[in-house]
Amino acid sequence: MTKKGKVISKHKYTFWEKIYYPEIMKGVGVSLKHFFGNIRKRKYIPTLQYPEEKQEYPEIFRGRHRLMEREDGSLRCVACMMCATACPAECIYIESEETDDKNIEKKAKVFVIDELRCVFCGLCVEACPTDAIRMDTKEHVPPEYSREAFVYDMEMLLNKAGKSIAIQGGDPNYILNPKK
Amino acid sequence: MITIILWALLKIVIIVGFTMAMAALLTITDRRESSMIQDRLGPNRAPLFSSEVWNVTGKIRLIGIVHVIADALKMIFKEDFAVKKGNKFIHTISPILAFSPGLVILAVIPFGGTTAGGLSFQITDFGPGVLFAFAFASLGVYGIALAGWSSNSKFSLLGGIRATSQMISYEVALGLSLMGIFLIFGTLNLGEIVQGQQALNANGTPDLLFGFLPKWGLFLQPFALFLYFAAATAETKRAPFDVPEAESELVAGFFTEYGSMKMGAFLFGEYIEVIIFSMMFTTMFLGGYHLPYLYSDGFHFFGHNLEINATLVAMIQLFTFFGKVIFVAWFHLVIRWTLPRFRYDQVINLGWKMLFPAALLNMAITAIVLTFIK
Ligand code: SF4
Ligand code: SF4
Repeated sequence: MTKKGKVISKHKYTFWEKIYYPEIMKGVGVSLKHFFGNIRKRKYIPTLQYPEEKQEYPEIFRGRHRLMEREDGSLRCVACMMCATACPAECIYIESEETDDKNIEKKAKVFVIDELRCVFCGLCVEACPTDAIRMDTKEHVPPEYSREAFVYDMEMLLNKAGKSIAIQGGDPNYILNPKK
Repeated sequence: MITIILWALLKIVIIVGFTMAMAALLTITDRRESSMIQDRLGPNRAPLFSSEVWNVTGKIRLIGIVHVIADALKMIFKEDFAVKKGNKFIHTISPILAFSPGLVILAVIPFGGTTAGGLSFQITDFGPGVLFAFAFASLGVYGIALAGWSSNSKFSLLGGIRATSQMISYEVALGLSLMGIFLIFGTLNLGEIVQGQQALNANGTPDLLFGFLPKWGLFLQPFALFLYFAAATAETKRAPFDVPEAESELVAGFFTEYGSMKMGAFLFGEYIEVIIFSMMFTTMFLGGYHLPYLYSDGFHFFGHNLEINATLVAMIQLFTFFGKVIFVAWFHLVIRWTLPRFRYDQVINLGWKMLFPAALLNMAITAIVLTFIK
């Protein structure tokens, strides 16, 4: 029977490797390269210092919700309940009321999202027929001191980052998260 | 008389103050430098004034130096516990035993030249200064061995034993590696060794090696430099010789059962040892407080002379010494963060089978060469 298996050749140390010092100096060279590179302009350090430096999220990131308005400043939401129906976490609560505009018929009176129950699946955005709800703020829900504070009412959803206007028919160059 | 006492006090304040400040700064330098070598940022967040308490905007962080204060405060306010069945008394004094011998060595280290008034920057000009330094350096092992024993814990005891065997093994190589220097300069007095490294000939010309190199230990005993560096690194118990501690695998060695500032004293003592090592290394191999071509009466540079007041020279030499010590300590940290830990048998083999014979050989060759030269 022939012997099977991989023959592992052991590394033969040369004289220069055996006396350590030349190899140590090579290692020190690597250390110094990194030390001076990093101390002068953080050449090799990938770290972001979080609260001061932030990484831009990708376009498809699902962040905190926002409600959109029409160009005339009225609410886009027509209280059709599609989002509340689609929501797997059942965290959207809507109360509707009549409007004078016969084309719209209904609008939301109370619109509440419990951001603690929300699983950020984005199904509400998919469901909305009027582009009234979006999750493109690229923001996290900020920490709060009480559970109640996570229940965002309509005021919060509309104005947290300033007025958000969506143009009828869609606008590919909409202003993302306008600050004023 | 009063001048002498005041001068002695001033010297003590300078050297002890420097050592303490350096040791405190080394704690943060160690962490920041390691982070720079390992491509991390390291601790840089602690602000000098908390913006919530002091109503200040912008944070003063001093590249992380504030962490020294934060760490010290944390250590001091932590619970000071002692092991129930351990020996409480020895448990308490062993950090002091490990910490203080290092400071005594400062007494014999020359850290500046002589001023115009004949005042020298060395606390005691002591004949067998090197022996004194070695004696006190080896006393440090008692603190560690006793810390391991008095903790009534297997981990501590084994850590103490590892530390003891390592330190005792390397003391032999440590002493022998410097023997060549003593043979060349014919003295054990640290002050005289430093003066010998950069002296003027009888006719007032500089005493240089091959006509251009100062007679530093670095050039006279290059082989001993490596041996001493390795042996002294082992004495400081830092990587690659940190088997006694080996905090990542073997709990924390001899200070497993220590907390609060007692453990802080061990850590601080380690940094003091690093500085003492840097000072000894500077004194033996880097010409002590000497700046190349600067002598007590000014620069002598290949026939060009520049007269400088002796007091000014002494001040320059003071800063030269501190600069060299800082450089050596920094380089020591680079080595420490470059190499992985030696295994225990490798440590002992390296000490007894490589460094010890090599140091003996170095001593023999130096002696033979010296006999033929003289
Ligand atoms: S993202 Fe998902 S869970 Fe959150 S509100 Fe929309 S549908 Fe509900
Ligand atoms: S947000 Fe959209 S889906 Fe939800 S109720 Fe309003 S219009 Fe309907």
